[in-house]
Amino acid sequence: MFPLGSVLFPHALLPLHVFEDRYRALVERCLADDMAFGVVLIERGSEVGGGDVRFPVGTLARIVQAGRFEDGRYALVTAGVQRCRIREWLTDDPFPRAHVEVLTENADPEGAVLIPEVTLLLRRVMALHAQLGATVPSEEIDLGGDPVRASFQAAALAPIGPLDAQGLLELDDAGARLARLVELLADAASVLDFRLSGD
Amino acid sequence: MDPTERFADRVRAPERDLPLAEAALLIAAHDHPVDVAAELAALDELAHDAPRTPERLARHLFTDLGFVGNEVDYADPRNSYLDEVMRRRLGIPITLSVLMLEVGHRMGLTLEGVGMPGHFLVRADDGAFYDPFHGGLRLDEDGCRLIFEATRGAVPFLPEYLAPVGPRAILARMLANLVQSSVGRDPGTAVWATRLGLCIPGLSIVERRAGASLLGRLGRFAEAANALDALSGELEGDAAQRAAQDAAGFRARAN
Repeated sequence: MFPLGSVLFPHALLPLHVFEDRYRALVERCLADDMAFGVVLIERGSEVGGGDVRFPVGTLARIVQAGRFEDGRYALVTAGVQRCRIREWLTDDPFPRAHVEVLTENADPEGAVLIPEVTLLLRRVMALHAQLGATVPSEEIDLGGDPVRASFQAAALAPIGPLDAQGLLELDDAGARLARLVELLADAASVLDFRLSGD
Repeated sequence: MDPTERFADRVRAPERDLPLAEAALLIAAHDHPVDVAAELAALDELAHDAPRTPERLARHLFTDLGFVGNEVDYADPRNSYLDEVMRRRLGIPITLSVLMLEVGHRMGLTLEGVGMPGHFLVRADDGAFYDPFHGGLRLDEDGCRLIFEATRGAVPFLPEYLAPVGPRAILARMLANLVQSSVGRDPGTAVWATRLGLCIPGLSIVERRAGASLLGRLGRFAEAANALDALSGELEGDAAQRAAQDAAGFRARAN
């Protein structure tokens, strides 16, 4: 398990820079045995040194690319695969471990009806961020037609804080996740509109 | 009658009398001029020359005549227009399925649409499924499940995904695909396709709520506000409040 200060969603990519000994050990184990590892958001405490409190729902990740520096650090590209719920934390030695249950996704086809609205809101929020001088992904946003995949891809692109992201991750239904994204993105757009109108 | 009124009129017909091909052509008529009568005659002609069993019909259309799935540009809106699908012999699963359903109906075959998420299919009265996007391949339930699992990853397959759907649901899904593929590149198309979707009787409140809200995001503020106000009366609790708030937000921008 890799406790972090940010949320990883299934279908999203997460670059990682690994320097702590225990996480180097985790990476070496995953590379040697072609294993997935879990990413969980830290509720309280910090990424370095341990002793933190972690949220109970995270995401299994696979290493898709790994580079090792001479001093033993790793630069990784990892991809979120599937959500998981932590059943029991085990020891942190040599690296944090837990028993997890892999979570399945609800594919209620009705969830897909919100994808176009989420697409438009994401584009709008990103355009407003760009007007305020932020660097935003330049490619056209195409979330596809699969509500599960679309909800995770939109959640990964949305400029939201880690607690809102964790809330989205913990929802079991793609339609509910898209509905919550509409609220979060519409609120973000209102705030950004207000900031721009005040300048 | 303009194509919108005509579409709204046709989808109000009882499901078993609903003219699916005509309604599908009326969708296309919102994008470009369509000679609906000529296109329907072309379907009659296809039916006249076709073999008489579902399996041979599927092979005839999707192998011999070369109607194929557009793997290169799935999001091309022409994949959603039945006349363009007939002219280019290129489509997506749902429009190719409509072609098979309508040719089959003209021949007296009992065929039904199957709205499996992510991949529309056709079911015949022999219990077999046909996949028009993949050369008219004949499938059993296991085959359908394998296609679903290949495209949907972590989502478990449910047998009810293979339940038949009627013409209204088919048209609603065709329009939803069109909205989905046009919302980023062509807002005008997304607007009329959303409006047509809202004409279809029997939509769930979730679908109507999403359509109304989308019209607002596309800049049709007053229209969205009116629709959301109407819906807030049918919703309860937080959902009703949120719809009323969104209506007020759109109304403020309409002035």
